[in-house]
Amino acid sequence: MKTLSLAFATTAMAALTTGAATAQSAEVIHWWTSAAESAGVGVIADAYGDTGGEWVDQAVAGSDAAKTSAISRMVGGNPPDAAQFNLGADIDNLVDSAVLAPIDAVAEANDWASVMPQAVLDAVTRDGHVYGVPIQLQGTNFLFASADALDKVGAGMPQTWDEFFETGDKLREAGIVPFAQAGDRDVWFMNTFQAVLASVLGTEEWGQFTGPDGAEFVRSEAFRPVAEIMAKLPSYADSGVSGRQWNITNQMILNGEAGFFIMGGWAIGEIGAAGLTPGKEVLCGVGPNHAPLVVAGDVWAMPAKGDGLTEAQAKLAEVTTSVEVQAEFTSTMGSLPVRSGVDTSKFNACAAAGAKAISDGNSVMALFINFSPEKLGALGSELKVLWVDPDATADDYVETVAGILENY
Amino acid sequence: MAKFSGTRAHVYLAMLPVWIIVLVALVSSTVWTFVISLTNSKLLPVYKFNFFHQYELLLKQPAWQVAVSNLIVFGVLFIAICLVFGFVMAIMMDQRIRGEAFFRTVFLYPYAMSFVVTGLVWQWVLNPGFGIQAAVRGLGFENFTFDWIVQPDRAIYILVLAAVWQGSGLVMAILLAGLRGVDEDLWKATRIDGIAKWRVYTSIVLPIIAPMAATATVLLAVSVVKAYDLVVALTGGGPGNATEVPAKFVMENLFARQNVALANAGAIMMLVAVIAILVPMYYARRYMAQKAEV
Repeated sequence: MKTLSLAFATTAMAALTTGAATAQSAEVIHWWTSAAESAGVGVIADAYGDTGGEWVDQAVAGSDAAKTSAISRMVGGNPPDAAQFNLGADIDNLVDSAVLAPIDAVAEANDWASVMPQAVLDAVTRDGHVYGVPIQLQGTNFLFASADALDKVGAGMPQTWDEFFETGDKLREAGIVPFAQAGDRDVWFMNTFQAVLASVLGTEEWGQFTGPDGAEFVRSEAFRPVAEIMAKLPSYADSGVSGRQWNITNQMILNGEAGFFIMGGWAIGEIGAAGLTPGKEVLCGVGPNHAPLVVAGDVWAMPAKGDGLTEAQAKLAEVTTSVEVQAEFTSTMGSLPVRSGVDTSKFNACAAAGAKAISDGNSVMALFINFSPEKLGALGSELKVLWVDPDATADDYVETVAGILENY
Repeated sequence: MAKFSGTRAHVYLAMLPVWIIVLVALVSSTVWTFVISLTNSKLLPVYKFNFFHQYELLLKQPAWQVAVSNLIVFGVLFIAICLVFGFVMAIMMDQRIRGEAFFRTVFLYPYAMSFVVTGLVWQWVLNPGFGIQAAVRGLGFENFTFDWIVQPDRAIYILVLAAVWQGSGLVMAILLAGLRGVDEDLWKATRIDGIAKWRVYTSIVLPIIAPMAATATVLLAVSVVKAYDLVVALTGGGPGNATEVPAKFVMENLFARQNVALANAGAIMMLVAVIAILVPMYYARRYMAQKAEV
């Protein structure tokens, strides 16, 4: 078996080696391919270039495809210098398989412990070693609303879920879709669930859901409102959810065809791209109920190449987390910086709302951080099934979610 | 031996690259897939064996059961409708109609498109928000409803519709070639006997072109098992899990859910299903061939 996998490794290596790398060139796999995103990654690439290094760009469209490409190259023995992964449990299996290089030296030299939020540092630390370079943070639970649609029914941004559904009823009477839901990937149903969960639980009870007694908590009264809202929400959406991409769904808000939309900060860029102003034609806030911002993020995983971190990898880690790059990168991407000391005055209304929630301490780490990809996948696909079942009750949601927390 | 080295050595030599590719790429990959399915690998292969544990998990998973039953419904309907449509179209073509080349191109054209393009086109056509339903309503028929693609109990038939649209042209082309191979004298003889044309097609021509039909069936069956791109492009497995298929389950677990061993167990189950269909077919054809020789 060993010879066989060795044979595979050699073949893969022969097929993939594109030329001898110089000491300072960094080959980076990432999934930032849209216009705003490639401008953002250009910021890091330029900054890396200014230090005398050569940036070798390997953009792969779609996060799954990019990760697949990175993993198969690691298995094949020809890893890139850095590869984009999600902040959190996404890198667990890579750390367990000992294919990543610890970044402790860079983290210590740049005092990550004092400039980065503890939760972010924890999310990249395994057994006391740092195994990922945080690149950016992203709020996943922005509530967007069409100002035009809300004006028509004389409503404002809802402060509670009761207000949300009240406005929803009025919107429906006015012939506007109350709630737009994206449905081409399971993760969008997970995302909506996560937003509802945060708005009901707040920062205090969030840990009980993600903790070891999660299933028990889900069956308690405290979780009940989440299940009730989730059971009610599908009846406020239109029939075209299945298979609809998030950016197409976002258009419904931009055109005023729909009232509300829950999506991550990456949708903010689309508002500007459509020639609209966040906070004016498209209102946004962090969920009803003064919800905490649910924070996800991206990291560079750095595969071990020989002994420890290479010079190129160390330099990339340093450049990515520097104040200057963080400021320009996050404002280009519409995301949030991973460290303190970054000027956030240039942020638009939506991003500023997210930054404020974080500085107020009103934020929680997304389910991606703690839950394995397997658990998240199961959660997303089960929620998708419940979404299209018109008979699904709050009890069904409780049992399904509790079952997943028990079984995975 | 003399025969081998004399005349046929060059034949074996020519086949050597093919055999190497088959052994290295196909057989060894299959074996490796099977070995990993016996481990508890998550993201990268680890060789800690727990034997058929993954298969046990797999068969117990409701998601897998749904995927398999969806595939059976899809496969049976798709193959049956494709064969019937293809046969009828081939017969119509066989009437020496005018503009045959034109129609043949039109019917075969969908097959030139990938499943991804097919899926996207049909997704847009059938989307209740801006597809056929919206268009007909725009003409003034306010109550017109055609939203099967978003109905959990109907979406699988939409999958069949798109696949039939794409695949039946191929069946037509294969069967038409078969029909053209039928001896003209046979037709003359049946005309003299005054046998109805439909009777000739069903009782005489059909058995003659049976091998062609079998070839078409195998080709269709392969595309059923492979069904992944069409589902992803057309419905994304939804609404709910109404159009999930085993190939999509395998792909999802392979990387997105970081569960390589379970995914490989699923892939092996698909292989077993294919073998279970192909082996009896192979023996049936050999039996028929032997009978024909006698």
